[in-house]
Amino acid sequence: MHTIDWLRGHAAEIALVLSVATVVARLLYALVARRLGAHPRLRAAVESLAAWSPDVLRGLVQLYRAVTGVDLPMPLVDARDAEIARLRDALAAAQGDRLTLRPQVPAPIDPQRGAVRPAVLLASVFVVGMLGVASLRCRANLPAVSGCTPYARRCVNGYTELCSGSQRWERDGDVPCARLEQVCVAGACVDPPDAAAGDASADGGAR
Amino acid sequence: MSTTLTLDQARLLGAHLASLHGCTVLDPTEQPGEAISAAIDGLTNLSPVVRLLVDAIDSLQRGASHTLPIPGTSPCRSLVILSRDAVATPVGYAATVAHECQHGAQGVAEGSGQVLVDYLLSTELRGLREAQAYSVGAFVRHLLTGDPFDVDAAIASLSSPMYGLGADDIELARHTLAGHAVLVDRRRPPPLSVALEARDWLVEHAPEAIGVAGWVR
Repeated sequence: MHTIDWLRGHAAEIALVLSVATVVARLLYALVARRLGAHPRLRAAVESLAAWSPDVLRGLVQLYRAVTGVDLPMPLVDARDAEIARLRDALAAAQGDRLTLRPQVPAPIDPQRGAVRPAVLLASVFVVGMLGVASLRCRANLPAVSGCTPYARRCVNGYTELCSGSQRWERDGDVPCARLEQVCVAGACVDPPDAAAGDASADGGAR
Repeated sequence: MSTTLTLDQARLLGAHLASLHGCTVLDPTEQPGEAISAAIDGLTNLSPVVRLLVDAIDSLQRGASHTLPIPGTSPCRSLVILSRDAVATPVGYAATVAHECQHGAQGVAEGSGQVLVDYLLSTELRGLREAQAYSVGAFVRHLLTGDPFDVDAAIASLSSPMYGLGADDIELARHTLAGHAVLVDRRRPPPLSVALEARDWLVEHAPEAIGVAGWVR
């Protein structure tokens, strides 16, 4: 009780000491931080200690209040507390307003709502198309490479075939020569008399 | 003495070829009835997607003609979108529809998915199948006008960047078309189903429109 009475009786002095200590600590920090500029890790450590100082000061003030039942006359701490209380009230009021007004606030107008941009549509079509293609046997139906001489001709089952630049035999029509009342000779549809006259390379003759 | 093919005859020929190869032909000059027109307007106002599709078709019709195989259809069905240029004359209409229906026939033969994969992934197959389609178109034009079966004009078209063909692919197309040209010189159609069907239809329904004598079935 004696100590508490002493604390109550020297509130102004205690507040002055804490204020001076705070100012000195700030000055020390400023000097040390400048000197530690070339040592970033040390500077970071000092900064972290400095960051605690307001909380330490406030903690001491609150401890004093708890022990003695009276407030220390600390303008800095009081101002900070008042500012925190003001901000807290403002935040609560804003949240209350928002909750109250939310149903009445019109939805923001989206000018693109309901519209499909051509690029998006094309991209979608492309993606869907590619998925469709991927679900198929995703390979062109090219004949096997045969090593034939490019642009040579041959007959196969009455159809004319042509050797492509990639040395594949490709059918150059979709009906056999017989549909033209012709016969296939050396990779060409010819009249039957022509075929009878000569070239014995029907259905062959081209490698 | 031949007479000129009429547009009605050209449309009948086109409808015949389309029916044989699962094609639906969209002709930009055919006006839908008021009810259909109003329905399309309503749909386009209802959905921006429908509007985009209608606009896309309209855009396609301003350029070249196209055949679009419809994925998942078996046998393959194709949508033939004719350009306005293609339908400007009866001969142009007949030649273009025949060209596009040859693509439709390729879709039926290969399958709707595979023909799409082939066209997209292989320049060799793209070049070959375009050469076949050009061959049919050139043949129908030759049959109706007596103009030469023009290999060089077809190759010039195939060499355009639109097809993205390499030198080998164009050379394959040239040899294909050159082989067909030899047949046409001898009064035979190219060995392509649509060419035969077009010749048969014209001989039967519009023989007076054939501009070259000596064609046999």
